[in-house]
Amino acid sequence: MSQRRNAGSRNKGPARGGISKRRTGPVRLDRDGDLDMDVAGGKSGAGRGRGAEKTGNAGRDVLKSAPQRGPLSGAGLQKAILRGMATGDAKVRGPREVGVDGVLKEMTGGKARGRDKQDHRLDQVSVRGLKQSKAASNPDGGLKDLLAFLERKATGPDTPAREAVRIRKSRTEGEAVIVSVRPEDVPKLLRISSYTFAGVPLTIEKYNGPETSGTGAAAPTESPQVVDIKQKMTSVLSRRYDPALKLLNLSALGHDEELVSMGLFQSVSTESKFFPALMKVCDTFFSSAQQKREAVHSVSLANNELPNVMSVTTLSQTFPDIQNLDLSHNKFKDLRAMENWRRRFPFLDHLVLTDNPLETQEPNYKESILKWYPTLRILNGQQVRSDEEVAAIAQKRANAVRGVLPLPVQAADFRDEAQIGENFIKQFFLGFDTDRAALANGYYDAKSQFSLSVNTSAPRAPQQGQDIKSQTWDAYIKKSRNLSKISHLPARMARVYTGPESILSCWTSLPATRHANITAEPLKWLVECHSLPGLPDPSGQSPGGVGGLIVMVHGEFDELNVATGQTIMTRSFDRTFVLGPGAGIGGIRVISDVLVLRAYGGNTAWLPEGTAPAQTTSDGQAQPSALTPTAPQIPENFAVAVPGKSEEQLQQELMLAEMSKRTNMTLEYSRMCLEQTGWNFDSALAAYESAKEMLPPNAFMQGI
Amino acid sequence: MTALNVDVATRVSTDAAERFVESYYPALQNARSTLASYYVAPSAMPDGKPIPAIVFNGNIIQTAADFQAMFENQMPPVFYDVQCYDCQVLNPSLVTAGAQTAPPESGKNMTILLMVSGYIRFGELRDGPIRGFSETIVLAPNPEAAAIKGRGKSVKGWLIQSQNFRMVV
Repeated sequence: MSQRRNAGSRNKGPARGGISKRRTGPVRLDRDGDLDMDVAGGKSGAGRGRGAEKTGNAGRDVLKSAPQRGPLSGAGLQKAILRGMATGDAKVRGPREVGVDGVLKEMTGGKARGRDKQDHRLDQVSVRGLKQSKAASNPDGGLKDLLAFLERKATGPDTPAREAVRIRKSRTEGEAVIVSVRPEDVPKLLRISSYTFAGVPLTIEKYNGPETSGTGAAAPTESPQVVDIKQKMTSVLSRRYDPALKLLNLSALGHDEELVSMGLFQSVSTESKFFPALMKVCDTFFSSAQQKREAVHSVSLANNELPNVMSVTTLSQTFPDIQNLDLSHNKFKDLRAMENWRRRFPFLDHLVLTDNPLETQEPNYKESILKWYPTLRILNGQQVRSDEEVAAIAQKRANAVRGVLPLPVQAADFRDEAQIGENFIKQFFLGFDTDRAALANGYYDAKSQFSLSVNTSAPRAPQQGQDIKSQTWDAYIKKSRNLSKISHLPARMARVYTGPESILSCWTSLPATRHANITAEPLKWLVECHSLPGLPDPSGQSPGGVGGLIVMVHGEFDELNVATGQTIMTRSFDRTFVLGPGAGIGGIRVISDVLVLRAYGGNTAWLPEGTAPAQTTSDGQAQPSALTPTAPQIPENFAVAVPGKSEEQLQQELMLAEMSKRTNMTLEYSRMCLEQTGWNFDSALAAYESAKEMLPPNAFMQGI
Repeated sequence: MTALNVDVATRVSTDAAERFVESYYPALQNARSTLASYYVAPSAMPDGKPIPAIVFNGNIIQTAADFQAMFENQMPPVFYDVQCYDCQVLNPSLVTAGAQTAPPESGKNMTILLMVSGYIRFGELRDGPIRGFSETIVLAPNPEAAAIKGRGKSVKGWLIQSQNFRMVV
């Protein structure tokens, strides 16, 4: 998620300025040697032995002091990855293949071809006229002004900033300037063809390849060079992957004979592409994020003379979920060197930053590091956060991602007294639909109060995306007592209705309604109640107040056109009644009646967890009780490899079975637990440990 | 028979509701260690039911301390947006036996029924999932506030006696 967000913000680069490559991503290479380019140099010769020796240790250190994160993954998975690492023929996906080849082609093809290669996500448009314009005499040939002009005119006024046309790349090709924009921006550019720029009308057309016919067409097939590099990288990776430790050891890459022999570090151009390419190759080994998570827990980038993480930043995209990261023996001067990985690696448990200049040059770096990595327990081999703290954070975060509150959603807490609440609700909503006068006179007395408020911007039912009717609240809004909007005392006073007459006059002015039948369609309702002390005593005998009932109702109703009986709109409402002893029907009276109206929000939010699939049955089935134990049934072929079952599914089923076995939770609850923690078995187990006290009885298997 | 005028009742109740909403919901986000202080002291109804009554998505929470602990230890980072709230005076003058009370005409002894409608946005990011909620709260006068005359603005005038929270969207 954070990656996506970052990708987005990366595009928010400055919109002005006609540099030829407008992607603002950190492509630029640092001079003094990402990945230790000067292998041949004397100093690296000295560092070599030390580096190689350290490498193994450093990598192992990470693992040793880190907790062994669960031996849950099947040996089969490991083998699959090993196989993949060894032969390079693991599940390779179409789009990814393109990605790898793209990068590799760039590496083998060198600069010119790399540049001419069409970006997959951008379309090109040719613009003519700059050479003839007055701007051509500018120092940069007027390119900067032209690009600014194009962006401004194509965007037009009143366009939100995020939809503004931005030129991502540009280059000159003969008379024409070729600009790259997002596909959706192409028509906007074509529309401003013949606009006058610096005294000359521009000609703007779709770009259909270079005019000089020729050499540029990219071969669709993989060149032998690409295949070769891929194989070599695969070999490097498989040599550097330790399946027992789940460690990808990318330390001292500049000293890797195999890589050096490939000539990858001979030019700045290939070197800058080396690491991203390596990551792309890694990506091809895995068919899911989960597989990656399982296979690689630790990465070492020690001894790479990195001045910062810029050149290796793609690690955080390919292996976002690693737990251990060794960055020791690099050249980080300060925290800025790690800026690109700020708040990346959300599951980072152990980080090693020893033997970097920042240790002495930025002594307080640990505080920031702790903030950047909220689950970090161990920094440089020292425990910096307690296990409990980290477990709690992990759990909270998993909940936040799913939009889940700590306790499971339970069935209605309906603690009625002598069926007072039940009878009242059944009669009330029927009465509200059919005979409001009888209702007002039957339950409301001179001191009863009613008010309504409209939440005009309440969230709507999740599935309702397509038919969002504009909500009109005309019939209610003048009576709405939303105190966040109604701030003047007279209005606040006028919008509370006291006594049956006043209340009825308000009700009569409201649209006709039809509420769902609570007996026939109980799922559409959520009614809760409990007793409430300290209510006013109409007899005046108990100054300390009398006891009563507070009833909270959530539901929906159809707003009807009285003339036709047709439903105009379905709305949701929340309504609270306070009932006390009185002279009304059944010896009660309504003391307070507060109604909140909002757009239709459905009923899924209050269905107890585990019953969600039942939400569509509105055919009068009784609401399944949350207390009904789930039968401890294991479906046929569960956790067994059968033809047609995906590797991922099998892994999940194995995890579910194991989870259920260890915790005695039902498969259903085991699944909830694992899903909440992104199928990380250990986190799921930790989450279970911290929440088990609060799980409902039906979370567990019965009997045995 | 109450000596409480309608305008005083409205002003006092809506002001109290406003102050509560503006203080309590931010506290749910970023002052979770103070949450227990928003509730009346633990006691019981004549029939033994605990006061305050706290219900959270159907789960009965036994004490305000438990509620605070749940928010401190388990509640993910959330942002509460109160979009709409309304209140009514429940009991114009609740007389608590043995406790000092303010003059009835001041309105300071009233209990208040408050209904809040809004949404929760999960996570620290702007694009976290959003869920609608409805919450009904009964506020009772804080005996401590009555004991301190005039000033004492740091003391909350009203405390939660009953609370029912539900996610509704």
